Amino acid sequence: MIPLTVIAGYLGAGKTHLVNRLLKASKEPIGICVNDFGELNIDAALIQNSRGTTLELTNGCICCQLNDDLGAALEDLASTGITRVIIEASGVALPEKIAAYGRNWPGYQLHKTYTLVDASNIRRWLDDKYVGALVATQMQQADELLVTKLDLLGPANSRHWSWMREALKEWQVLPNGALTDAQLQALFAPSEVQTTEAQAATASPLHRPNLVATCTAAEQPISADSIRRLLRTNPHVVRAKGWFTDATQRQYLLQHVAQQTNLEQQPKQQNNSKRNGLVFLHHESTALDLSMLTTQHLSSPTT
Amino acid sequence: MLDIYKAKTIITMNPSLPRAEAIAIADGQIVQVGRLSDMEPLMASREHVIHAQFANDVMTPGLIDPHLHPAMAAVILPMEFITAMEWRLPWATIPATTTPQAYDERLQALIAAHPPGELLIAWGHHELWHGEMSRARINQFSSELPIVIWNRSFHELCMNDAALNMLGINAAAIGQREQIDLERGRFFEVGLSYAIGKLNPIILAPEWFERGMQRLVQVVHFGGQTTVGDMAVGIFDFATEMATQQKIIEEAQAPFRVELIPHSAALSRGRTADEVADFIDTLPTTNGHRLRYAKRVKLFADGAFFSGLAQLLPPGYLDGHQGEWLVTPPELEQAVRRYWQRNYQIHVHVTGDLGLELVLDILSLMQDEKPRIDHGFTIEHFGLSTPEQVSRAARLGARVSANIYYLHELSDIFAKQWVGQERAEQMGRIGSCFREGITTTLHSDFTMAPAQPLNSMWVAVNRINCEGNVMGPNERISPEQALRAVTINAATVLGCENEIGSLRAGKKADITVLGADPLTVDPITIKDIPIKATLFEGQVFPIQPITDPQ
Ligand SMILES: [Zn+2]
Repeated sequence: MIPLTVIAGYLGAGKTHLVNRLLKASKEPIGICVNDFGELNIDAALIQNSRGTTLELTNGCICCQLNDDLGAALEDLASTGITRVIIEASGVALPEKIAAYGRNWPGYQLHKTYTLVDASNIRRWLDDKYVGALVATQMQQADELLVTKLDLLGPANSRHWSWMREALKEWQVLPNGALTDAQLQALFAPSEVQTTEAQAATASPLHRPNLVATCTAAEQPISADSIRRLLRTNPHVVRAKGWFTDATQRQYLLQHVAQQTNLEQQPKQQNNSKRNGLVFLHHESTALDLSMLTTQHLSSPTT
Repeated sequence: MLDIYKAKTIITMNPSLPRAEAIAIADGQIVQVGRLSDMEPLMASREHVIHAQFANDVMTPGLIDPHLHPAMAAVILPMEFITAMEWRLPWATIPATTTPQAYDERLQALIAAHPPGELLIAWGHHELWHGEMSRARINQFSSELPIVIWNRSFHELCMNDAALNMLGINAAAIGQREQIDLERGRFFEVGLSYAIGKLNPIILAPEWFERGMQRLVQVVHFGGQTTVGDMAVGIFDFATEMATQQKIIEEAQAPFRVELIPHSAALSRGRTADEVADFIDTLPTTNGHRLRYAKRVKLFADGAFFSGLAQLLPPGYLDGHQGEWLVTPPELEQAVRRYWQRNYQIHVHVTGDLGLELVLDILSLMQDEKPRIDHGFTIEHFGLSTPEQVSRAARLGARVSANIYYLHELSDIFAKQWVGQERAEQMGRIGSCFREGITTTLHSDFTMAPAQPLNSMWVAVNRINCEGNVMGPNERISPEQALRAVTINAATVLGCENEIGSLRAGKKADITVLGADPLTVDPITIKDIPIKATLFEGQVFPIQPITDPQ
């Protein structure tokens, strides 16, 4: 069983910052699911920390459950042999709903739910007519609260802090900023789960290899064909992502997961070679040779 | 070549000439509408044919459903239907199945007719009518054919042994799970997502999706529609949706056009929000004849109305549960601003009155930041609202596209369980919208409601719910208003009012041919008016009536 930790909290509570910190500090691979619309800020950290895995999700399938990105991401992560997974919930998600994946998705076990509380804004959010109820529920559904941005409290600090102590007294409150990397890691190290599940884990025939990342800045032109060939001939690549430009100046977005390669050509006016760069996550037991990536279309010599 | 069609009467929806007896068409365009005798100068100068095939019928502008989801329909329509309510589909009228015995009989008949080894999915099970579903119950009808029973609300499914084997679901993989009952073959909530994940390779496979899209084409035509809005392109997968519509609608020359409105959040993978907007800017360059983008975008505010996830103003849901936001209010504001600044027509999915309050606050802020007059901002769905909000929406220049079927299907249960009689009666407050002069249209959100504009008109005019009670009689609209809603107003909401939505010289010759006059029949019969044919850009596409229930 893979322990699953949920990080929830309203917009601006510092979830992405926390995840990035954790990725940087961690020595073992962590699967990260970012359960959010819109822009992501995790890729840079992924490259810094070769042992992270990110999966982008757009939750909010409104009409039905036919398109469950979160479940699909958990399946993909499980197939990589990852040993722990953290879900960064979207700002509007109820922690309970996300935690239900830990309780119900085969192969996973819920570790803990943390809700991050932005000290500098919490009072305003709790009074907000649109999200007051949501923010309160996010706090109620947490196992523990992590208070962030205490340093932004300003002159009203002490009064605000005593209000917060009162408001949050039912919970164990952990001021995030004061945590050392080691303490932070301890929060997310699901030791109790590992011991109770130790037998299940050893009994499982599943090989759990470590993942490493091989990167290229993709400064030279690369053909789409050679990308496809690389991924076809290297099935140990579990995930690949990034941008590259071919010899005819067409820029592509590559997304590869679960042996599915998706290359999306960008409209001309959006070409931006500055963001070129490719990351391949693969099992560390087998090296990945990127010299296969060339400008050539491969048809002529082989056929 | 000039084609002149005579009709018993033509309802033009052009207020300057509301009725006519003939319509002259050339090259898919209307040349003249009016009296046949007035067309003599035209006939004298041009080769022409006078068609009498619709001489005893009633013509209206081609009906328009400005908000449905071809991609969702494509997934669902290949399924078999076993439902408590009758469903009129182009290939069959699905009879109402209201007892456990009848359910089992129909399931057995479907099994007998099904290709061996191929997955059978039957949608529409409802415990209240059909009794409890279980693995054992399905097994007794077939241990070999893989069978999935999906319930009416899509929130639960049940499989037999063959289906579990086929999908590789077994006790070793599952372990102890709260939301999977393997013993009884049942999956719900997260467990359901797990099961759907296993089914997805089948129900999202190209063959399935194409078959469903072909069926959608039939459904749209059968409803008498010549234009529909795809109000969230990208809801499953942008590339697959576009490729399939290109093949099945554009290349196969379906008898209608699809106005495409991209779902910006679904296009965000790997792109920044500004890059998504830049990408959406480029989409109209890909336009074909039947598939068209324009400066339109779809955004989302609060949760699904059917699921009780609309955000409500106090006193909220009477059982104390909460609705949900699909995005945080500051992020919605930012998204609206991005497209408002780019002069887009913005369509916002909003179901509850608190959701509407937020959306109107944002619209008001946008008007302060950059005043726009003819902006086309549209409130999509419009479940619950207040009279004050309707006035404010009118002042801000918003339009309303209402799923009026909520009132028919949900007002009874909402009254009893969730919001009480007063608010339930006033869902879909469209009489007020017309009184305030708001451009108001009706949609199906198919597959949420039948893609039949005559049915939407019937609900809006009569406001009769599924229990047969009249709900909110002061919010009823006239048949003329209802027809306006599904023709010229729908065209306006899609930004196409200069091309379609009424019958006058210069517009596209999109026409729906009816067996009776919807403005003069007993309003209670509007939904039963036979649809004889549609004309799409002047070409006749007959509609075969379905007579024999399966
Ligand atoms: Zn919709």
